[in-house]
Amino acid sequence: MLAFIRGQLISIAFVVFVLGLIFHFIQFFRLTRKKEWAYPPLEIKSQKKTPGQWVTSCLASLNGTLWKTYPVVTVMTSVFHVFLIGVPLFLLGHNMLLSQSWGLSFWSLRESVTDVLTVVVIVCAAFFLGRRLFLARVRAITTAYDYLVLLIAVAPFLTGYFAYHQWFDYRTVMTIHILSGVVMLITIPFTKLGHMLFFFLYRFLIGTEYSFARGARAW
Amino acid sequence: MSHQELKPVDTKQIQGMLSRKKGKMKRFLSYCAHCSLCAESCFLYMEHHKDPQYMPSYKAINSLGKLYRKNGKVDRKLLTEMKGIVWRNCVLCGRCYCPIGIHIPSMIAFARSILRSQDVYPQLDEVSSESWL
Amino acid sequence: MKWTGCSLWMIAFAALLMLSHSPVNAQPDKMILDLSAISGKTTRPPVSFPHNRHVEAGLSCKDCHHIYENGKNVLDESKLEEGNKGIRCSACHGPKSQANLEQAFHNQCVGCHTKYEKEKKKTGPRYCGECHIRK
Repeated sequence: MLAFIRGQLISIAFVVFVLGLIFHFIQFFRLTRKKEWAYPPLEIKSQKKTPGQWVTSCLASLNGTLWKTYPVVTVMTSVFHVFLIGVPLFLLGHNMLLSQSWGLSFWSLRESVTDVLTVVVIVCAAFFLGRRLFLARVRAITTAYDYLVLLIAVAPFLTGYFAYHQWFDYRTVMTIHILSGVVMLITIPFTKLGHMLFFFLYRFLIGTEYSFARGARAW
Repeated sequence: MSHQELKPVDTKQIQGMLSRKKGKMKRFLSYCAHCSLCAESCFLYMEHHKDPQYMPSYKAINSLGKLYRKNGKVDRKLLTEMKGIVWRNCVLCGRCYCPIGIHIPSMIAFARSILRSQDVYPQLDEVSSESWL
Repeated sequence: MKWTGCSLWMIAFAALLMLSHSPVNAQPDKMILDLSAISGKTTRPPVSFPHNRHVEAGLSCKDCHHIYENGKNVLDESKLEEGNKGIRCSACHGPKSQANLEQAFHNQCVGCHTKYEKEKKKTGPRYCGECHIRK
């Protein structure tokens, strides 16, 4: 059973994860079409700015964004998402296993660094949980499913932290850690965790007023 | 007003409309992270002392989201409630901002057209301006 | 193959020498494989390696100890005696060799434990922290 969890189950999870994302990726291009008309760039090209003017214009451009309206949440969510993806990829233990089985691995961060970053991810998640519990506007649209999704996203980090420090029964914690990672990988394409892929498709490829790039596609 | 209550809700028609835009709308609804970051981009939310029911996501979830969740099997009472959400609580100014990139106005507009197909819409010509909803 | 190299296996005597007729049993039961003397600061705690358990499990010396020449293990078993610096892993697995000391240990331990698990045989630890135990 343990051998199956460590071996085939992880492969199955990765296959489901990748195929699921590929399926949704293809579906996205089938659902959208190329735009005939694109938004003209909003900014009017003016004369060269001095560095000071450039900084003020950059700061001014943040005025209408989330950086102005919710600075704390924006910082927390940026940090959370970057490390949510980054920490597992550049974790020494994971890379050791990768090089053991495939002979290749990513570059690794020091374990003392990833240890702190894991706590950062957990703290950010606790912050989101707090918002869900105590802010009226978030509570108004929160369902049990939202708590479940948050748990799915954080469980690998919590158990990974316990495993690294070898708290509780090591074998059990490791098994739960692997299982929680498997659950996360499998659920990403099929739950709202799918915004991992759709954020990039929606914000970069769909052309709207708020898109980051000059989106060339429309629904 | 009276003729609105007489006609039964055509569930088949609603289901047909829902499935026509299923690919886009179901994705929008399922990828909404329920983060509430769209709230302050809505001027009605700001004007109503940050009342959560004016949040763009709240309006989309409780109109179009409800229609998809119940798969069109709704009664006229629920449709009338949704009428308030999509016409009174939202004016479709299109200023709502979603960090994930979900296009909320298109969801509200779609909910409006479904309601209109069931003859649920504000009748400005029949009643006094105060109680038009 | 070079026989140079500084002392690499820091062998700590956790148990008294069990003297018996067999040379393989004339080993300390637990060896502490501590790489910090060679590769500087290590992030994981050193591994306590139970040599006797591996002998008792029926492995032969040359299943682990090796000198490969043309793909064949040409190690002379009579050289495997305590105090012979030339038989230490670090004698060959230096920082510049094909597999450095850390990789050599990982390949040897993890590789064999994985192989035995796949063959549905009784095997040793499979998780990182089961060898690198924190106090």
